[in-house]
Amino acid sequence: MKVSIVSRSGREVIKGGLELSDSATVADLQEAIHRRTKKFYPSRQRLTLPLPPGSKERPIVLNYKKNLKEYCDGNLDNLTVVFKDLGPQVSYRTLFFCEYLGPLVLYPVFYYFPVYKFFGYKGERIIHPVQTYALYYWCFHYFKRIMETFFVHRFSHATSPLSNVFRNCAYYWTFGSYIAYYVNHPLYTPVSDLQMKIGFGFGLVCQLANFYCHMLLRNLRRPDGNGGYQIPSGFLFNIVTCANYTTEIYQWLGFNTATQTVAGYVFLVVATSIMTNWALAKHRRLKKLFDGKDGRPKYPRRWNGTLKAGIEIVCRNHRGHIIDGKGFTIRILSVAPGKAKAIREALHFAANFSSCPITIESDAAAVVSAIKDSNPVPDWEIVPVMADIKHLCPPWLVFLHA
Amino acid sequence: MAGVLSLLRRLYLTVYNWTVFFGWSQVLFLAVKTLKDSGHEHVYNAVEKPLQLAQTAAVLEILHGLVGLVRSPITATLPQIGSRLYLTWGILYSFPEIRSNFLVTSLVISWSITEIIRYSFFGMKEVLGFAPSWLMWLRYSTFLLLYPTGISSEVGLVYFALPYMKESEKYCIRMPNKWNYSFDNFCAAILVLGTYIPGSPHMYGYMLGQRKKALSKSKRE
Repeated sequence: MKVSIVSRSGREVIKGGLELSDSATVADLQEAIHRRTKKFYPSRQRLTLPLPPGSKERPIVLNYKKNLKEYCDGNLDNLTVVFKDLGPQVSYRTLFFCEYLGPLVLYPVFYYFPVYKFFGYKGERIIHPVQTYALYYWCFHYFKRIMETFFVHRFSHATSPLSNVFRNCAYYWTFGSYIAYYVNHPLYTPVSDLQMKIGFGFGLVCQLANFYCHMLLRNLRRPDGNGGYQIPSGFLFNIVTCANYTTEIYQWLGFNTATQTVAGYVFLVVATSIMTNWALAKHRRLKKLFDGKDGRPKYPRRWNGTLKAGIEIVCRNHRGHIIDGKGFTIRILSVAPGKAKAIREALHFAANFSSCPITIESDAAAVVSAIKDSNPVPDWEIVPVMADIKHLCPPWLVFLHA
Repeated sequence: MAGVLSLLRRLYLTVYNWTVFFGWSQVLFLAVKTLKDSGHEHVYNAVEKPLQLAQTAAVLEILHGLVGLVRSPITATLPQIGSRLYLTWGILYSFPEIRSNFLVTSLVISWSITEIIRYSFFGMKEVLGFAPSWLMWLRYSTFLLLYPTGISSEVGLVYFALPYMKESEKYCIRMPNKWNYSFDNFCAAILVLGTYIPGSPHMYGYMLGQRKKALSKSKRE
């Protein structure tokens, strides 16, 4: 098959195009482009399908794992792809390492070396205990982040543009020095001993929680996998989508409570706003990706989305006449657990009529089939309710779903 | 309901733009008149009140962009208005020693001509729904000259104010204090000057791009 590679302005990037076998993948195409251009290694290339002129839609990005044929749309002899140079790339590990090395090295410089002589402070510097603990806390934090970069994180993308290294390093290194300057200052005023202990203690707990969040995120991706998104769950992820950012923000709050500098709080505000944006973007992306259609799982609602559900139990005799009933509301995270809880309440209610045979009707097919045939439950929130139901069920009970 | 709201929006923006336009016209008139009658040393005292009022009113422009009343990116308006406010309050208002400098005149004249054109352009658009092409041309061409004069006056005034900042220590906060904070106005001013190095070419380039876009569009219509 012949593949023409054009730039976004329509100019031919590779003269005469490329000839590839019919079974070639996008990765093969990228390799072939690299062989011809030398400069553009695969992660520098962004390949998309051409858009009709004037179209405002986003172009489809070619996935390197897929076969070229899947993008051919009937015509198997000719394919035109649009090439964009993403610029020099670095791996995410390199990027993170550079970001975190700055604060890890610069902070101790302010603690150990007579930096403040250059700012015009003469005489001996008395070091408060909180300044020493802050040094350990800070270095532990960035050491943890570097270790996690190499041994824990599994990245969704392999590389990032080189320019991000300069931007991110400027951010981390400047803020690191700015905070270090104030915390290690000769005229530093410490907070009370109790406040310091609360701050560092809370911060440390949050750092451990943050580590646990990173381990949970790591286990979402297989070691051989190439990125891809999964629904995070377990621990704090059942409450918020990005518990890793939540714990990171709170651990900085702990550090600031103990050290109390305006510089630290400025950093906290900036970091919080950046991470909030990332978290909102990720939440939107996961909700869009896991829409519950065509067999894709539905992204579960998080804590701000607890539902108020009305439960009504209607009790009829064998002629269909209503003989009793009950109604109340509960709070749930999603619909299925609400249905399961309704069945459990119905069983409790039915215990009053224990001498007669009972039929229970529910419109929750998944829940009913889970009870009747011991199928897997559709939602983690149901598990304890199901256990109750199994326990309450009399052997003659008949389940219907309508 | 939507009709009433859009009418209110137009009414408000019309009043806003023409009010600020009037403020800047006053600044220009007083500046030129004082320059002719009594010399550049007296220009600041003549224009102080309308200048402070008109320039501070620009804060509303950031708010307009934030609430979506107008379509202008905050990344373009914030640095521009921020630097203007810094000059108006942080330099001219705070350091009276600098007010007799000849750069005050070039600064005030550059600002006021730019703003008179800009606000009348927006004002026309709100009232008529379009702006005359000559005004459009002025809006996207005068900056070619007025940006360099305005920016060099700004930089020059901050530079000349530096010794007074260092000497007076005005607005400085020193350690030790409970919140472990310090602020040095002199260092802050040097940082501000530093931002002009990448900032000025960036803003000039941005305006050149806007000029190309706006003037080529008006030619096509």
